Amino acid sequence: MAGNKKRGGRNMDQVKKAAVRSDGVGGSATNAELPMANLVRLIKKVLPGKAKIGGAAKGLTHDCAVEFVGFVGDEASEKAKAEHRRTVAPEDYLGSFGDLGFDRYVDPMDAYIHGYREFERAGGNRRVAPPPPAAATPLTPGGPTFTDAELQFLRSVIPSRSDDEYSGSSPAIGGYGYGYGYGKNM
Amino acid sequence: MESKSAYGGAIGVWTPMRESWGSASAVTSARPFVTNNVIPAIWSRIAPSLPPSPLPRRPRSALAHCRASPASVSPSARASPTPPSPRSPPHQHQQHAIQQVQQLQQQQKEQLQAFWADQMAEVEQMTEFKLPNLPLARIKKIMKADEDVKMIAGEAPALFAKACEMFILDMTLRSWQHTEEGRRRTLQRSDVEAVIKKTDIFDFLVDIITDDKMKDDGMGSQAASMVSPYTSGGMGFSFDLYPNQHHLAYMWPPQEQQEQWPPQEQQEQKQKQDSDGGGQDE
Repeated sequence: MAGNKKRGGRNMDQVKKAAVRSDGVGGSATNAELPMANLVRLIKKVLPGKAKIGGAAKGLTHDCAVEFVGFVGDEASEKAKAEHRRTVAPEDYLGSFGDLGFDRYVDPMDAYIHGYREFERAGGNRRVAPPPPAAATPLTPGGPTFTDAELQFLRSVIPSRSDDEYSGSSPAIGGYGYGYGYGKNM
Repeated sequence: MESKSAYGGAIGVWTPMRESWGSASAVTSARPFVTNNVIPAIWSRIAPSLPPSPLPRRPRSALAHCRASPASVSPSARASPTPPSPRSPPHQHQQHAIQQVQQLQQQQKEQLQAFWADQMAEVEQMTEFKLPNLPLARIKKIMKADEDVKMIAGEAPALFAKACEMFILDMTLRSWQHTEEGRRRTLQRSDVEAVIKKTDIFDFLVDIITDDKMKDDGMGSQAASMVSPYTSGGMGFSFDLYPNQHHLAYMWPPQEQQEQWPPQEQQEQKQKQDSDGGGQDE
């Protein structure tokens, strides 16, 4: 019964995502939920040098990744709601990975959360004047992933602890401002 | 004189053996000398199939494995086929094929295990959490798409950026394994679809494949027309439509707005998108 109800909810999300996918097929990075360049770079990390990737395969992998975030996010949100908490915590997401069959993801993500918190505690938090990002990182030998403008945008959009600022404002105004800033940076 | 007549007898029986394998087997059971002559024919049939089978597959598998982990690929030991009697060749050939399939599955399993071991090591050694491979703003936008999600912890987008990255790598690795099974070097959409169908944890993605197929068949024309308001919004229309788009995220669009987007325009856009998609192949 609950499964059926949830299934219906997914169908609504499907309709919404279908529109996004239609735009994505055209190759426009601005309309895609995730930037295709980052996606292709990740895909090539596990493929041999001679491998080629079809355009349709990129699009389908992108849609699957977006669906994955929504799928696990819904499960985590249900967990937080069941315990009468208004904020979805990382532990909710870790539990969701296990419940939905992604057992292999739990250990790496648990280690990641611990590392991330230590990183913030050690001064990574912007409140303590974070150090400038390194010019080169192990993940991207060719240089930093984002430009200075993009980093500045990311810092302004993502708060350190919670989304109180965003949820407190009016949905219409907040959405408009978010879209405007987003478009400006792109 | 006796040996000469035996030689003549062999010549007489040779033709039936070439025509019918079973008949040859039946005949050889009666004459031991004829059995000896049959061995060369059996050997010649099996010999040509040996060289080509391992060559095209091993290099690609080795390359993929090297990318997954630095460990070298264990060499496969194949017993040389020596048919002691005419009845054993088919059985041994079948066993040989079964062993090949099992080895392939074992290699694929090892590749996935090595991938996850690498992921764990990478996370433990990670020192730069501010530069993820996927932009956090977009991850957060996707997470916020669900109205039920009121508040998200500050660490959640970073956590999901990493999880999403692992998901993409995991799916790509499995898809590439399917590509190698077909002895191709281009990762195609069908490879991704095959992985979604045969992997249990990817069951939630089956709807995506079904929707696309319905659209391709033209059965989804009605659904496409219903989706048109979102597409128009995404095409970069004026911001006047933004509040409406937000509103439409939770209810079906009213009749008036549907009429503003005729189906003909939709079909033209769809054709354009299809042509663009086709041109993206590398």
